[in-house]
Amino acid sequence: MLKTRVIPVILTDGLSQVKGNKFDSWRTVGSVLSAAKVFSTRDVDELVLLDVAATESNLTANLELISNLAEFLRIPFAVGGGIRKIQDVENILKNGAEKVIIGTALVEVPHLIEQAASEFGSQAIVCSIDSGCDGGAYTYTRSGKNRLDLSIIELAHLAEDLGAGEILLQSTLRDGTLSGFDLESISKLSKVSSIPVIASSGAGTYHHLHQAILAGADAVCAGAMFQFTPHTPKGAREFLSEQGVNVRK
Amino acid sequence: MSVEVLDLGINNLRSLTKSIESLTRTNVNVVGKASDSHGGALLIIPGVGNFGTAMRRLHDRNLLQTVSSYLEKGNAILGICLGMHLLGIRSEEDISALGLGLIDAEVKLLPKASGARVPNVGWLEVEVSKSNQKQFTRFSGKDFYFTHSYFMNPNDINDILFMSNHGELKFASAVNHENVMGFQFHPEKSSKNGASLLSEILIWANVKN
Repeated sequence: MLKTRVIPVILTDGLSQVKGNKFDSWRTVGSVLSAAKVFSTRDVDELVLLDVAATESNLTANLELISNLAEFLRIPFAVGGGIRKIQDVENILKNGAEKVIIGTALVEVPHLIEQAASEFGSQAIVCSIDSGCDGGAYTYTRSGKNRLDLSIIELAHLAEDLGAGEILLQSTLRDGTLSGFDLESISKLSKVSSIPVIASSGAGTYHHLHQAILAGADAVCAGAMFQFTPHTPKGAREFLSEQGVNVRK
Repeated sequence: MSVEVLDLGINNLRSLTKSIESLTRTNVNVVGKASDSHGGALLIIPGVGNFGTAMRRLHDRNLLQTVSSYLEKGNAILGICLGMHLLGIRSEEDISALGLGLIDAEVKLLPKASGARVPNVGWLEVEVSKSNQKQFTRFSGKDFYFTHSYFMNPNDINDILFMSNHGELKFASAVNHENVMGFQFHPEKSSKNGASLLSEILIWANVKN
């Protein structure tokens, strides 16, 4: 049986690792490479690297980072933030990432998803959807700056139709708060999605991860939880295993 | 003896070449066109992307010649993920393209009806199907990282090395026919299990002892 994945998230502003609160108040907390190395030695299931500043210049700078990560990571990693052109997708994959994560472009440049999925395969394309409220009645793009009157379900259907392979479901309300996932959104989405759903934003305890999985998530992410609390990816897998969740041993 | 990897220009080779270099003492030679090849014990066909695009590039870059050369000399060929699919006859991903035909198999889209999500992404166990390759039997029950929407369906059950489950469907997660081998998952992205498997593959291919 496919194992449920526990995926650490590393956020960057293009220079260093950052932490935020509700998609705002970003502050520098360290080096991306160091964080990735630590997670690598801890043998995590997968890694997500997201550039929250997502400027044009960052995309180019990040390629070197991605290449460095590919040198030592023997697990898959996904990269996102500001991807708007097929060349961005190609560069990121060629430099060593397994998947790209596309958020804003899903709405602003939908053809990109279609083209990328066709050229690189759906499994290389993750669409991120940022829920603006519990239950996902409305969403955001542009790192929480642009509100859309589209629900997470509407965006998810769009992503799936265009050929995305997975959905990364985030919450602008809960990100960085360590207060738990938007379980209502996870539940709603996992019932209608035929592609895997990765739940993110809000994990603060192992119990939160378990709740997200019970709500239907195929994989769970944790950012601040693994950086600022004593909780570890290994501890998470052990806890989940004890609860009967099928995780990688 | 050496290892060569085909460069089809559509995927990253660093993780793979680095993984192999850490297990052997030789550098992996990247072959982007036929004249780049010096021959070797093992030719790896990696892959991310599209079956049709990959086969067209193989043709355009004259790499079929490289593949044939390895076969003629009785050396080993390894296909990973899309590279494994290319070993087959044809794929539903692009029916206009013919595969290498080294494994008697068609490549099909994973059925949603089998009760699991498509693409198949994540860590999944393999079960050894073919026990005459003793060095691979210890991988039964071990997890490897899969990320694919298509799977290979060998016509000869003896060509199946590993099997895995996708919902209710059992599919070939590794194939082997004489000196040709293929893996659906990514050994270079499967952490310790993957490194261990790569090590066995290198021994099987007579790259190292």
